[in-house]
Amino acid sequence: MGILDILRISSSALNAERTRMETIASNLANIHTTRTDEGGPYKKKEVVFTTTNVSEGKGFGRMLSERIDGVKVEEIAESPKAFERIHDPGHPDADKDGFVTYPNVNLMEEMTDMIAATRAYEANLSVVNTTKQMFLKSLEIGK
Amino acid sequence: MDTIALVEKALNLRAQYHKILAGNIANVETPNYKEKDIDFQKELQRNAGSIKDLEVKESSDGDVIGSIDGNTVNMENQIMKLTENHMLFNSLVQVVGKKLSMMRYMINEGRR
Amino acid sequence: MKIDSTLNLGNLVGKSTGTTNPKATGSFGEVLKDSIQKVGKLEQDADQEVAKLAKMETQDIHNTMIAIEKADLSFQLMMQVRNKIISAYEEIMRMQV
Repeated sequence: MGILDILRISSSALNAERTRMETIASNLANIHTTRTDEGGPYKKKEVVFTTTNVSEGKGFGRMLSERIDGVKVEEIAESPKAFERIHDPGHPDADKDGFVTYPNVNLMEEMTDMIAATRAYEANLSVVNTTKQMFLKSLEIGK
Repeated sequence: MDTIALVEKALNLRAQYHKILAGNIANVETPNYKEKDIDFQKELQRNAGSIKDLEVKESSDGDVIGSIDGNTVNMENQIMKLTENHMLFNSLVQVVGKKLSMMRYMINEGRR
Repeated sequence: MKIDSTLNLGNLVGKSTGTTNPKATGSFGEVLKDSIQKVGKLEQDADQEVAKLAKMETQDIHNTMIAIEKADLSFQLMMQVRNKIISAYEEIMRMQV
């Protein structure tokens, strides 16, 4: 594991956090969507992170067993949380009891997730910057 | 002496790569723009006459589907490659400068 | 270029130890030759580290920088030692017999 592998790990994290932001954006945009192509309201999407090996395939003498753990989005799953039912008989999508099923997206949760994703993104960015500074500083050995 | 020629070739290569990466980043919103990349090891092995005969291929990152408008540029990866390229470029410059100053010292001190 | 300078110094060592101090000829000359070879080896090591960096076979820049510094410093030290030897030789040659 060298100093450049740190960059690969961080960039995998940046990618993952950005995907998370995309799902948050999609959730927030569809917070009131009661009608989708599959019928029924919009289902909240969640990202599932998992560790993955981000080392470069071609090993210049690297041990085959060396894993460099970055992160990747394994799947974008649909949340199994229950839908919200609001009583609104006048709504076009109201069912026979007059209830409208709204998406299971909670505004507060999404906002908190968004802040968390932003912080994680910034943290990884600062890892990249610090690594770069370390590297450039070590060029001054002997100056 | 051979080392300096090798470092020179690597520096030229990295300077070109920087331009390619800058082009990728500039086109992050262009529809149907495919990310360009070069294979470092291959380019270094090749005894290329001129740096213009670089084999620039469109990036083949396995599962890149790209966005709806056909653009495949991944911003974070480009930034990461840019940083890596920058760091290695600086280090090669330092190293070759140091070697040349060592030679200059040899030339000057051997005067006696 | 570096092979040439090493050869010149080797000749110089042979001459100066031959005329200055007959008792210590073997050991001093050999010690010097040995040191010069070590300096040459350090320079080769530094060269290899640089080549590895250019070919991206290593990611540890600090090893490369340290190897280069070692080669540089040892070479400068050797040059100063050589200057001292030369001036010692010249001083002895100036002695009136």
